[in-house]
Amino acid sequence: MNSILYLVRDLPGNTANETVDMVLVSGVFEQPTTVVFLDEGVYQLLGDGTKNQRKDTASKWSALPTYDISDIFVLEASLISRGIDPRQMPDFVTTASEEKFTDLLRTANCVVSD
Amino acid sequence: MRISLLVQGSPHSSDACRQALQFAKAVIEENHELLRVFFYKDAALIANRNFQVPTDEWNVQDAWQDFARQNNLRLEVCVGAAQRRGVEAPSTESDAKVGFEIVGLGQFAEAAMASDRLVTFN
Repeated sequence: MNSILYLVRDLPGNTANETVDMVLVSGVFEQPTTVVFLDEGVYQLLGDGTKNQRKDTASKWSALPTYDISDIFVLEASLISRGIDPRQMPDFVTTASEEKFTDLLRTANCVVSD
Repeated sequence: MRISLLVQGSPHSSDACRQALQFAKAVIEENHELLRVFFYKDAALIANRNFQVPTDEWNVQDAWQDFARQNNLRLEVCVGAAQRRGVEAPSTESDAKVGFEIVGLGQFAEAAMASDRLVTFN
């Protein structure tokens, strides 16, 4: 079965909810799924969006492990360039170096960006 | 090679639908199999039956419909993405333009699993 790598690069809001749905469906279909948060997408892992009349995507993403999606990464360089401390990231996310990210891109059968 | 397309950009404010169509034509011309075309997010607007462009502008919806007809292709539009943008779906096939089929996200997951290549247009 094809493996799929989702790149989450958008700010919270916009179409983030639809990206979450797409990833969860891949989980439901038991497709080998990896998610990488990078660029502005790292903000989707921070804070409660409902304070800004948005859906709380951070809590939605936290459901990934219950869908058997455990390969969840955040690009370290994206955190550093935004002054975000990696310790602010939720437990279910692993920090990935650029080398690791390149490796993920190389090995995935399908890559989908939001 | 079996190729599927995921189109996510708006037919109005992005070039995604036009570029995807060009790519789809190239896929057919090169004798590959175009397995699925899935419209998601703002690209779901392409199924709107009230879709209109000024008469002196190219109509990407018509172009996709023509292409689908000529190649006996199904154009799949996510039901959730369609509904939140006012493109009525369900049993109301008349609400979606002919040639577009309103389906669930599972169809996309199936396409991603069964294709040799999945190409995204944002």
